[in-house]
Amino acid sequence: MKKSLVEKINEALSSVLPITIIVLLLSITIVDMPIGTTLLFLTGAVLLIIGMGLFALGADVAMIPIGEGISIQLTKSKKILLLTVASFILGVIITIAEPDLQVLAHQVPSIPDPVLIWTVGIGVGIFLAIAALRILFKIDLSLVFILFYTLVFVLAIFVPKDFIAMAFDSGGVTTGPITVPFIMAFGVGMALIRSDKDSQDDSFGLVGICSIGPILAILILGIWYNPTNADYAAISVPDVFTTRDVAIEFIKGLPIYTKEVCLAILPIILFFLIFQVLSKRFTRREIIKVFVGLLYTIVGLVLFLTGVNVGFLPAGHYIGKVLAEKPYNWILIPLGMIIGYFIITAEPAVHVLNKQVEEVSKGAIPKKIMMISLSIGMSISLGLAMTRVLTGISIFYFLIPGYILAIALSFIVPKIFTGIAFDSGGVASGPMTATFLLPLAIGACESVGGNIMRDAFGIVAMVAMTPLITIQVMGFIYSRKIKEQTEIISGEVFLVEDEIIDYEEVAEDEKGTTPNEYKISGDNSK
Amino acid sequence: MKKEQPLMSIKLVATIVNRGHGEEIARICNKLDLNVHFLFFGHGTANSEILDYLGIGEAEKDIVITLAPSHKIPQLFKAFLTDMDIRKPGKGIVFTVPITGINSFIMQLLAADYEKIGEGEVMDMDNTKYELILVVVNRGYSDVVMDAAKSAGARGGTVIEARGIGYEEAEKFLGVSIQAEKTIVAILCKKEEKHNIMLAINKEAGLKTQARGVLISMPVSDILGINGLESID
Repeated sequence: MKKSLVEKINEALSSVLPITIIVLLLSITIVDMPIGTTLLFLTGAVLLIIGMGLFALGADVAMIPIGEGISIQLTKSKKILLLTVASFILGVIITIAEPDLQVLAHQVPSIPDPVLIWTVGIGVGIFLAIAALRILFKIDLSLVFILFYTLVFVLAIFVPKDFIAMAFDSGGVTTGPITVPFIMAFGVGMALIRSDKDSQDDSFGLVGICSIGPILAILILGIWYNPTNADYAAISVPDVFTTRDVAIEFIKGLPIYTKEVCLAILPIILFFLIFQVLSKRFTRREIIKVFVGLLYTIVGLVLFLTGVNVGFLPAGHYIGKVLAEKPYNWILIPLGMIIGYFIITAEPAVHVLNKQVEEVSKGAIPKKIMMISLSIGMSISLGLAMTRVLTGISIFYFLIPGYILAIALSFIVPKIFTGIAFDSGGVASGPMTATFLLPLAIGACESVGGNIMRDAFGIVAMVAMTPLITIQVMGFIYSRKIKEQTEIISGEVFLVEDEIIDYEEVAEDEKGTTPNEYKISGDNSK
Repeated sequence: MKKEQPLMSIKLVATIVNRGHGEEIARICNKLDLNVHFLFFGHGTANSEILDYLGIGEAEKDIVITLAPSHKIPQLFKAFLTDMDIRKPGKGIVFTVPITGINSFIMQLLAADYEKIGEGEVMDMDNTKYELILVVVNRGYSDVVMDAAKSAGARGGTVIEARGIGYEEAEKFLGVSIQAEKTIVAILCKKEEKHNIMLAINKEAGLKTQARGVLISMPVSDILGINGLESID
């Protein structure tokens, strides 16, 4: 009966294995990786598998029920002000605790850390409230995106060049593995108890709207402070020679990430407790389950973050550096595309998204199709990002057409796919992107001597953008197919006369003449 | 029109399997030209409280509802046995419930290859040994229902999350009606145990309790996948 745990670990195994094999293959062929780095990477992969399995289980048992529960109770209360204020507060507290935001803040020395963290937090808070109000007042999702992305691109004109890539990255970075399941469940919950026909479509899109908050916040800060230089945390690759060195690296990492994860989850626990006291939604048994689930989430995320930060980061950086040094460094583009295709499954929040999509659509949008669309999107984004690293083309040439295409598509595909697509942008750019793909780009950028702030950063923004297009294209093809099917069936229906056959009536009319005469089995409770 | 077409008895075949195996069920049905099926999600109930607390007790389930003419049920059950070995513990449960009305178009679809079957092959409906109990309660009370049912001899159940619809008291919020969250618990049991199980559930989760439970039971014609008595060999 431990089926669900085994299932989750299996899922994690099949998600992490492909990228592990690719890196191993690279390390024995064209990238002569030091054995210490390889050992760090392999240990990291093991931690990743266990961590991801536990995280996925924790999301199912704790994060999703909490998020859904809170939004259902808020919707039921029918108080718009309460819903708006609660969404805002929730958005702020889960964002300021997100570990990735702290890292981002350190990267911008010219803006004081607390200012940046709070501005981004308030940005997400405002946008979560906007997302909730949008659902209530039935404002079209596409309109919201047009309005705010236009604002984003207009503001970007006034911001120092070195700053832009980082601002766009921040949108993907701050919607991390804790925020995503929670906000997603929040949207699904609001839709769950409504009985109008749009409710399913409105289940998604919250993460997508929330991703705009950080971008706007950082752009505004960029205009205000007008920083001449942005800095990034230099990557220091530890020297590891023995197995003991490897163990020490991981042991050093554990407490750091334990603290980060606990700090990030704490506000959610507090909010949950206050909510439970006020609403008494959950039964005693459910509360115990939620706390066990939170424990899974914490342990899972600690193992995952330790694994990627200690194990994957040096490997990514090294691969990027070595490949870009080669005379045939164009190989980074196809290799990046292959890595991108397979690495998406290793993002923990992706499985949460795919599962929610499958459940909300009652299996009509299967996990497999979601995964393929995300993989293709990721592959394209890595190809573009690597091209940018090697050539130094401005990020605007990719982002502006990309977002215009994404928004244009939103007018022709069914609304539910637009919501899912914009959500998956935030989902795809998680910790794996930040700790493996970004170092890969930075490593490559160092080797070719490019501008790291302009060329290497921006990879997260790419990763967050391409799924918007691929998921919507998938939705377009998919909905066409379903429409064709239903049209065939309904075409047949109109050809025949349709009526209701009542077995009991028929049986009475033709007593004894029908071979399969139908009888109800008698009352047998006595 | 009504008199001309063959009238066959049709049953509703419900299959409960682990999540992801619903497609397999649909494939088996399609092979027998049974093309009308619907899938929805539910989850099993935990075997023990400890497993439940640990969050690893409830396996997620696919529930497939298929419409099939009675004479095809033996064939269908045989296919389930040979193609996916459904009798293996934990693999799944199939049962059928007789239906009392249907629209004629669906009937025609199902009767496409219907051959008149002789009297001898008519199945005797009174011969059912199992019953299906359905309990509709307020959200969060599935544990209470299952605990009560188990105390009276039930072995397990399947939980489906749902919401109310059409309630007169449904509340409106900005023009959108907000529905109550409901949970449906489905329990298969032997005929002789049914009464006690329903009594126990009614006591703990009936209409007079906070769970506001609505209980019904219906006869099951054929069943496969529960250890012990099965009405088809």
